[in-house]
Amino acid sequence: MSAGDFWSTSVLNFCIALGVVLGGSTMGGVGAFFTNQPPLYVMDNLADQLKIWALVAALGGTFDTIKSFELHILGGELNQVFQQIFFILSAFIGAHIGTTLVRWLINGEW
Amino acid sequence: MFKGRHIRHIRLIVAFVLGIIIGCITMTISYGAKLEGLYAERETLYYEYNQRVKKIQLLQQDLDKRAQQNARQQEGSQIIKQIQVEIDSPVKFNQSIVKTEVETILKPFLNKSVRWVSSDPALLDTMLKKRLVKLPDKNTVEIRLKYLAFFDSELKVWVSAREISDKDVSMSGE
Repeated sequence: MSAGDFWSTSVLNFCIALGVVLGGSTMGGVGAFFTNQPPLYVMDNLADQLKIWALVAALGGTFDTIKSFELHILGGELNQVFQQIFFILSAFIGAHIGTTLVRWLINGEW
Repeated sequence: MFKGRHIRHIRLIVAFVLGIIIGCITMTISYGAKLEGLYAERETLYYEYNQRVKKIQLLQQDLDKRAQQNARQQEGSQIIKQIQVEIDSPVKFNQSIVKTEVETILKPFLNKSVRWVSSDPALLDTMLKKRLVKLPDKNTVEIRLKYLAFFDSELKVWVSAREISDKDVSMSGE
């Protein structure tokens, strides 16, 4: 994987995770409004719950990542392993920033 | 597949739907805090309402219990539990025997309702009318109901006793 591909995948993972959390929680809030529930409270809960799913969605399924870990470690390609770790990290940061943004939006604090 | 005009229509519809979604999100974010406050207030009101309902139910149960106790007490006080006999007689001796005899006659009235007895006092009079009590000294006493009174659960009976001689007593068939 070239350096350009690496960075584009990282940014993509970040944005997907961020989008899943932001979109999921805001749409969940709208749904909560229609179902007679407190919208901001539901948004806060959803942001927390969606964090892990955002990570999974960004990476395209946990199984593939774990499989590639195994292949690269056994093949002695540690460079690829670190790349995968960075992808996971970027997705995690995206999901975390999404959750933090939602929380900030609701509570007015980080 | 789709012609230019159709594509424009589809874009318009999608834009409209997106607009609605964005509007919903904006509205949720801007009025969310206010709504949240109202929901919290509703929750508090529900809680207070439930607490009051529980309190009312407890009071109702307490009231029912007290009413039952009161009814039981009233019921208990309206039952004849004791019969006291007073003898009105010029003869002072052997009064206890007459008393015992009268008490035995009136024993069926024990544990009966005061209302039932007081509604028909003639029954007592009938039971005691011209009753003869044999005394150990071979004399005979004729008893008659004089007064009766109720004191809570006590039936008090005044009986007049008149000593009769043997000649006053007539055997049937003679």
